[in-house]
Amino acid sequence: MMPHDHPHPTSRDHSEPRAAFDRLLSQVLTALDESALLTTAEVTAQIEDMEGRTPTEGAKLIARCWVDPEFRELARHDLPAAAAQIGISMPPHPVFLILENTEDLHHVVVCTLCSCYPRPILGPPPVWYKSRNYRSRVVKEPREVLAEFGTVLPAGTNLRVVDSTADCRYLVLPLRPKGTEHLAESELASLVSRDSMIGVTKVST
Amino acid sequence: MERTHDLGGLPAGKIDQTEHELTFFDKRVDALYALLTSPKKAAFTMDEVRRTVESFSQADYFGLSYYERWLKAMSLLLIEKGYVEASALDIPQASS
Repeated sequence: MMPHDHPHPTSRDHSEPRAAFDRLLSQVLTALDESALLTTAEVTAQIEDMEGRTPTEGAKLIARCWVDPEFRELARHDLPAAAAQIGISMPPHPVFLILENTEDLHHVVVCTLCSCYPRPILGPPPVWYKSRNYRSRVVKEPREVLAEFGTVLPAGTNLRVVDSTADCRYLVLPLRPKGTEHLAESELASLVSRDSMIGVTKVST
Repeated sequence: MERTHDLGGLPAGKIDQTEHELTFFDKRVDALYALLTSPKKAAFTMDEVRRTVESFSQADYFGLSYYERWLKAMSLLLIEKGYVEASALDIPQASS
């Protein structure tokens, strides 16, 4: 248990790494290159793979769920198979699940222990998702946290906070906004933000 | 030594929503983590990284950046698992 009656240092997540950590990274890469475990070339390839994974890809998946009931059913039962259909490759582990928002139920995702996130679909998480303040508060006062993101849910809407783990990750399927029946799938996808797939916002037109 | 574990439910302040592009350092550490915890490499598990981060002093847990924490934890695990000699790495201590 940690005390919280004293101030903590400010997060350094908006700054460049210290020289000592830059040096450590070089040492680790050199040592791994000399071992049989990993090459720097593999690290470079992994960076390139990750750069192709962005919320834009997740938004395509959401829009397809909105327009194609069969696809939505597939996403419900086998999210990696659904993702593969729109060109997103997924690892065999961990488990990925979709959380469907309805008029009566809204979901918001957190990782209280660290930063687990549906990275293959959305890319790396934003800094605030990994922050102490989000992780601490969203499980205790989720409506206040959502309000900070500009999201006010009707009092009658249930709010479910879902905690991710290393073994199970979640993607929120936001509610399709009203009055979008005439929009094409690509136009719908352009409405879907990263934050709506985490659940801190809703999709609006 | 005090350890930091589950932060859920603890009192905390307003959420800083500033967006931050990953630096080259961040991307390389992120890639290292993905590869070393992948089933193919399986050098260590994500839970082992978390256990190591949670064993940090509060100065490190809250004072290091996210990717600095990951790099320090992975470095300690590479030594612990015998992949890398301890003498090959200069691991910054909490006060640095």
